[in-house]
Amino acid sequence: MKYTNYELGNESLKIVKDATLLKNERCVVDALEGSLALPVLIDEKVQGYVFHGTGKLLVDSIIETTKGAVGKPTVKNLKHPFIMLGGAEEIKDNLANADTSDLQNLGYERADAFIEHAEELCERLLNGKHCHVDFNGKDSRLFAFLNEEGKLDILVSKDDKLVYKSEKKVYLSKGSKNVLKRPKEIIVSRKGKTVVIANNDILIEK
Amino acid sequence: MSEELKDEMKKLKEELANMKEELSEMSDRLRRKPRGFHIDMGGKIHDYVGDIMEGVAEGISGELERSVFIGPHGIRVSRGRREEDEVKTDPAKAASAMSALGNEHRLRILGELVYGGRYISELQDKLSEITASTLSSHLDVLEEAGLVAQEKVRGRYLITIPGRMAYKMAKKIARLIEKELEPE
Repeated sequence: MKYTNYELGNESLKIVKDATLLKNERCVVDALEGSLALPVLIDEKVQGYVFHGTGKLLVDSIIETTKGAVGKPTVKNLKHPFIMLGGAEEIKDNLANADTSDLQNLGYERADAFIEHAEELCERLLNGKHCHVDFNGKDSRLFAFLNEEGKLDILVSKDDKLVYKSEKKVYLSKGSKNVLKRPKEIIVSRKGKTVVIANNDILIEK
Repeated sequence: MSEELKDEMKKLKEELANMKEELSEMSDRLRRKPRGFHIDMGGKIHDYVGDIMEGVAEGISGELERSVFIGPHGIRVSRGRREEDEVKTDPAKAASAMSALGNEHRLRILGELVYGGRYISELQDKLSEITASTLSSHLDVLEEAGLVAQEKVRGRYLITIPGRMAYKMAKKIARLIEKELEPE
């Protein structure tokens, strides 16, 4: 199905060897053997995949302040489908064609069912908009994870920049600058200075 | 409000505005860069960044007229008595936190972590009198109690705000008791 300038592959693939989709100082995304994968083509080139199976997401969404660390690391098992854009070339050796039993293992009775599911997810992320992707950096990725509530959690990584947004937290990191937004609390840290807004109070640490 | 405070607030507001600008530029680049990492997500990330920084800047302006306390480590702007002061602490929870503190080795671990995040190997080097397995189980107890957090990617252990407060409190109590028990 063609949207604006991207389309999905026609053949479902599977991961035959555990694949690390992203690994840097602050986050790791793994997709494990047996997971399904469907190529995402942008300008007729494979630029990413939609995965469904088992995987793991780790994000060190913690901010260090002079008063102590704030926040908890994010640890999620990836049971629901998710999209990865960028790094497609790096995992192609971990993939092989999927057969009917691989699809059935994940609850897809028809070969087309996974493709339809992936199309729906792509449509939600890309919203029918024109998209240009050229991921030159080794760790440049965009992920959209379908969460338990059926919403999308977003992870963007490029060079030393990281943005992670989930239902309950937003975490931004760029070098020594960090922002963590949690319910009722915002923490901004930059070059040893911290601003915390919580319980109607503002605390500015020098 | 003193001129000094007004100047300080102005500087902080400027700094936050700069951060906002930098983060907005960062997300703009993600959206617009023609030969880079660009995907139009309807400005979602840009909006999140904008909202966060907007909230911080607006919060500071709005709080200027409220109670302001200037201490040696920073500034606190407070609207009034905080809700948590009025909430009674569950003794069981307090006992659980105190229990995590009630061990010499765990206090030594906290004492190391107040100087910054440490890998377990670094803690092992500094606290060689504690065996590796004991160190690991003490860290689990401290993490469970919320006094320590472990980074899952890098693996470093960090002391949390409650952890730092608890460590300070334990030291203070020990000093007070020591003083009280001194022969007159």
